[in-house]
Amino acid sequence: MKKHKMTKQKAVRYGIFLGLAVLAFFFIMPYFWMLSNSFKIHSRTAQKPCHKYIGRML
Amino acid sequence: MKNKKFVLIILIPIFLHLIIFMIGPIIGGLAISFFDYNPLRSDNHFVGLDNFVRLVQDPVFWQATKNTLFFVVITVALNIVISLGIAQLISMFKSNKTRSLFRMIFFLPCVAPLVASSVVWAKSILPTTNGLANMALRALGLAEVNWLGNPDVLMWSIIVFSIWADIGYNIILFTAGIDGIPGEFYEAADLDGASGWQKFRHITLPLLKRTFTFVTIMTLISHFQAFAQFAVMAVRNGPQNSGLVLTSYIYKTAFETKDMGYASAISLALFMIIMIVSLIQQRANKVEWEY
Repeated sequence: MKKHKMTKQKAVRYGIFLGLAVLAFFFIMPYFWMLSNSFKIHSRTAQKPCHKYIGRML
Repeated sequence: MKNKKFVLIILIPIFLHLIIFMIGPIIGGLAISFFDYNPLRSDNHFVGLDNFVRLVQDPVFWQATKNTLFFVVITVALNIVISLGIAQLISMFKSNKTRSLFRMIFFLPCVAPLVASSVVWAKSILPTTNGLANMALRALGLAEVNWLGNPDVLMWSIIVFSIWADIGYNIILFTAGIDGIPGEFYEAADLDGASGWQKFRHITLPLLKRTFTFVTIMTLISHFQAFAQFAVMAVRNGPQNSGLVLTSYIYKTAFETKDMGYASAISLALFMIIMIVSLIQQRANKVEWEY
């Protein structure tokens, strides 16, 4: 019974970790976007703001 | 006596700073609101309460007030609910490294200057054709959205951006508050067989009231004063003035039309709104206990 409870708690903790990690990814995405844009001159950013790897993915 | 002298010497520069840079400008602003004041003109005559009468009859002022209240209510409510939820989830981890990692990630947007991140959101995340948001929507087979050009969507875009940019600060404050709650309360609740939700509802929430009051008031004030995101994302106050808030109206009146008397009257109205809301909030969340 105790072991079952421990496993359940662990599963809940992993679930929370996964949920927070996904949320953190979406949260930090614009930040990387800003970083990748900071290496481009303004006219290029306005023309094609998307990074080439992400552009390929989408 | 010696101690008193030392305290006085320490306090005098702070009081001088407060009087010159805080109280002085407030009184100056109040005085200007009774004049038809234009810095480019040599003759600025006294108009009494005319600026305030004009304020009450100005439909643009009421629209800006409505937009400001809508923005503040939605953003502050969402900000507090989301940041409290994330802080509670982060606090459930026992490892300090994991907690610090998540806290750092969620705090990152607060580090970048608001104007810089507003420009990046406006120029490369929210544009209709090349923006990241619409590219993601297209990839999911959904229709494109005109994030900054549609009057019904513009305010929501700015709300999402403001939550993203500001939430990390509140997460840090809430996690500090949760960590400060003594563990004995949770141990006692565990012995009584309380569930996670019951512990959150009956221990965490009531004992976080002080942090909650501080966070709510600070977030309310900072959102009432929000300007950078509106100046950058709502070009010319957005279509049909949908992105016009009190701060941008003050800026427009003071520095574009050079009507500083009227702008001071609007500033005073904003000051009163913030003061009333803060007082109500403080009274509602009064806490008279210690642990």
